[in-house]
Amino acid sequence: MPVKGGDERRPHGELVADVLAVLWQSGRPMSAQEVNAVLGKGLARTTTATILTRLYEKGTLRRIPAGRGFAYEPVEDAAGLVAGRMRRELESEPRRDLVLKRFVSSLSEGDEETLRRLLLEAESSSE
Amino acid sequence: MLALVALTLVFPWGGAAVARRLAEGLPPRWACRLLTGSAVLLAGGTVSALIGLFHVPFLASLERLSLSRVLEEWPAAVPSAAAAGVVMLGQLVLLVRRWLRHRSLLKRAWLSADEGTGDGDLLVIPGSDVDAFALPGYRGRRGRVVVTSGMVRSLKTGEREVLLAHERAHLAGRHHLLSAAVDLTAAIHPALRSLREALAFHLERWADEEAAAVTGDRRVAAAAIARAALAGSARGRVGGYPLLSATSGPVPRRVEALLLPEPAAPQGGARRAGVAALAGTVVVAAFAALGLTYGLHEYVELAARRLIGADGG
Repeated sequence: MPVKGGDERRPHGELVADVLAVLWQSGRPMSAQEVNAVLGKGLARTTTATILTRLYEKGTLRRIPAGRGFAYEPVEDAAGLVAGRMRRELESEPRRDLVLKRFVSSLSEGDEETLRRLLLEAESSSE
Repeated sequence: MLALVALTLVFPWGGAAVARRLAEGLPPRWACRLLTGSAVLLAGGTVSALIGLFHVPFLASLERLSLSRVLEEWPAAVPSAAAAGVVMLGQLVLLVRRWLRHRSLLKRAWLSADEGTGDGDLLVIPGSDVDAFALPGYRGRRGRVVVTSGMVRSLKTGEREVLLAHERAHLAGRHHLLSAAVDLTAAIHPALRSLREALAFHLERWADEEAAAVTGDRRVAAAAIARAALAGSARGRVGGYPLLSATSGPVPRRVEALLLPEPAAPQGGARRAGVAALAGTVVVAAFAALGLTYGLHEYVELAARRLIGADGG
């Protein structure tokens, strides 16, 4: 096995996930170079391009010609809408949180006030 | 002897309270192990006491004693055995039902996520509502992190990494198994229900700490959680379970904890001794309960020998 740089040692799946998240976040088509810049992990452009091409071939992304290459964006389709409905149905399941660990639980009104204050605090000292 | 049985059955209320209290002072990872461990031990104690009560008449028959002779010695033997039997049957039904519900929930969650677009361990599903959860592995499929596009859009770049690290920590630590174990023990003894919520909180804290360690910035981790929660609640509370209390819920407590330095194991001889004493209480009590089964067995055997002796003489 050839010696690889720090980021190359991360599991391939995680890298793909990060690339995909960048595209979902931007909300506009992006080229491999742009994705790379947002990721800021110092990856080779070809690594990102390969991932994007694979996702396009799987039907996860669609691409449009841009400059000399392609820009990619996620596909939102009917199947996805069905998935969204099914997921919302799961929300009413009282035992949901025992099986599916969610990132944040719901808030009380007092919580919102506290959180806004804490968010300001977190941001003021991290920047 | 009956007093001992009653004590064993009442003990989990005290034990659960001690375990919850002890967990508060520990780093989240240890708190989770402590809560799960004590739930299992306390449930084990309860079951062993019930089995002890239940098998008294069978022990009598093993000793070739007629049941009527046993009843002369201990009139409550049959009613208490019957009661223990009914309780255990109820527990078994509850356990099976809860287990099946967990499995069906997992199955439906996989069905709903199957349609999402993604690769690797991330599934992004379309939808403006803000949600993200760890979907545990099922039937040989590895666990996934499921994120709505609404959630992805409401976080900043560094914060998205926090989200992924948090959910991956849940998957890597198999946190759903700990949750399920404690939920099942709550079917055995009602006192253990209080451990379910405590464990849920400490599991989130565990994943928060892992996420902060992976991304290397506690403040970014705190901001990610606060922003996601606020974005989620701004989109409406349909289908969620808003906490009705005005007191601070779990999310602000998590954010506050991340704004403080990383929790360390208790320092100093006194604190360590206190923790050890409390932990010791939990363990000793559980073993006492287990010992009770053996004690009951011995008791019946003793009574049997005495009765046989009386017959002979």
